[in-house]
Amino acid sequence: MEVLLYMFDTVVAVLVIYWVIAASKRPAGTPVSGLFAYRETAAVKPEPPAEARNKGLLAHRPARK
Amino acid sequence: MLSKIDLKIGWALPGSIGLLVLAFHLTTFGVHPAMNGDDYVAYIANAQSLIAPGPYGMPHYLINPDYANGADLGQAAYPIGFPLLLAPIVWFAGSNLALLFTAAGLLSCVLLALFAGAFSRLAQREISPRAGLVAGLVAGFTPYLFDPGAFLAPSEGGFLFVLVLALMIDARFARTGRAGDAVWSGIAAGIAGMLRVVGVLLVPAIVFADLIRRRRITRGLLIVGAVGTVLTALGLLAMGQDYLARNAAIFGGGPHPQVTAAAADRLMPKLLHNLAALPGNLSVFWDYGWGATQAPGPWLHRAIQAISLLVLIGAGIGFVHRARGKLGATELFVILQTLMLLMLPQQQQSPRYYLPVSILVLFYLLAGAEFGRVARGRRFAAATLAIFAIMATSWPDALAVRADNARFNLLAPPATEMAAWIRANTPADVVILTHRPRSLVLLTNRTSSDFTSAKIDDRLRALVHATHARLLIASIDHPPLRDRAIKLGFGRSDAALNRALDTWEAEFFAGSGAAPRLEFRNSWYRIYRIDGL
Repeated sequence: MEVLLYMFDTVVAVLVIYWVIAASKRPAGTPVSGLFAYRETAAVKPEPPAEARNKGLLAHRPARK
Repeated sequence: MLSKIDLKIGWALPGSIGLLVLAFHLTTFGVHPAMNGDDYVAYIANAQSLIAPGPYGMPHYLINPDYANGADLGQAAYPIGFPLLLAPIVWFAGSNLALLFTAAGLLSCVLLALFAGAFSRLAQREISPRAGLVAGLVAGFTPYLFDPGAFLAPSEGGFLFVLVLALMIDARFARTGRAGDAVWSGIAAGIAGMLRVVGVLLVPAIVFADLIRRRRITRGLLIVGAVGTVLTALGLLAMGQDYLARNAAIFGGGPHPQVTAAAADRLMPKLLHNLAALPGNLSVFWDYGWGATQAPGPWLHRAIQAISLLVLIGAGIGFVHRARGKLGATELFVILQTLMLLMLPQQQQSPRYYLPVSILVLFYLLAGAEFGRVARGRRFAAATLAIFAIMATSWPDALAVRADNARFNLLAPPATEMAAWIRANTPADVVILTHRPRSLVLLTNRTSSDFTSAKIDDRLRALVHATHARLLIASIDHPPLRDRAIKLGFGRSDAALNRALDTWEAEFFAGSGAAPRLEFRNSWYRIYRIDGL
């Protein structure tokens, strides 16, 4: 009979880990509900500034003093 | 750096993996004129019966229905798909068994390489390019599939290849819904059903997935269902009724022995037992019988359990992720197939039957890893190496098992000597009891059946009476005898196994009140007269 508990635990572990991953992928500010609603979504790394992104495009220009 | 290489190069990666796997098996031990495996022998006999006039199957093999006492329930006739593939080889090789076994091994290697390539392509398309790389390498070099030519039932490689192909074609059919794709999808699923009985679940999986996806009965769904069902039915119908009728006449009617076997176990205890064995049966891709050659210590046992739990949780996460997105034919096939396998008798809970589910466990594990972003960048290379390191731990055991199979092969001198004696000294209609009846049928063309008694008792007398058996063969390659020799501390050499056979002989004939009547004896086999017991 203990195999049923083992299977149940495995299924619960799968669902919890799945939920944690899925929740961590939500963009910040998405409303959440349910059992883990108190868990806040981690902050997302901010976009790099435009200058850094365009570094390659600006390479032919003389560097700013 | 492995992860930096752009792997989005279509079929080039799966193709190279397939070629690598093929080269590995061809140059190591995939092809040799050895054969050890009653199932493979039965496939060859089925192919021979396709060429020769007469009914399909293995007319000289009687299935002993004594499942309750552990009789061999090997089939006399398999679905017609793989025998059809073997038929040209059998026709070409004729009665040259060495050539026949070598060519059959070559075919198995090619099918295994095709499977590794196709599986890599499936993971590449459905998950990610790097998942394709790992999937192909793990599937191709898994220790369970070592020595495909002689040991593993050969239809496995072909079935896995067609299964993966059918899932890939179905993914295209799911996108387009075109009638042409439906036809191809039905053909692939039907061929899977013709190769192995478990393949019959592919057609319902595809049909139900399409119904769930489109919420109505489309023309494509009807085409897939019709083509797949007709092909599968053709493959199964060929299994025929001849040998069932013969079996019923000899052993007194009743349903098919396999049906009796399935009914013999009580449902709940069987399901609990099978569920408990499930993680072990699904772990063949990284664990091939740690303990096949020596018993695993308690810590190793715990380690195996812990890894299989982690693998199942990882695969579960991948499954939930994919099933939530879209419940496809792959997901439905895994569910249906697992449910069906859990209903099989305890005796048939073999990792081999779980192979189709096992490869999909690997698939979902990779999907879960991709979903959880656990294998990005440099960690990807490290994770791949770790998977290979875990797999490599069971390679020595796989090689030891393979060596044992090569040792007791059907073309070894003692086996040929025994077969020659039987052909020369017994009439064509003699019935012989042996633990490997189908191999004996292929070697000698005499009628043969399995026996389950450990000594001469009423069960054996009833069997002899029903089958009119006159000879009984005991051999040192019977696995329980090898276990007995190890338990008695004799060892594994021929002489040690013969000493174990001496103890078996003394126990077996103790109850009969007469000395054993030995007709023939060599270093592996002893043939006794058992008529008039």
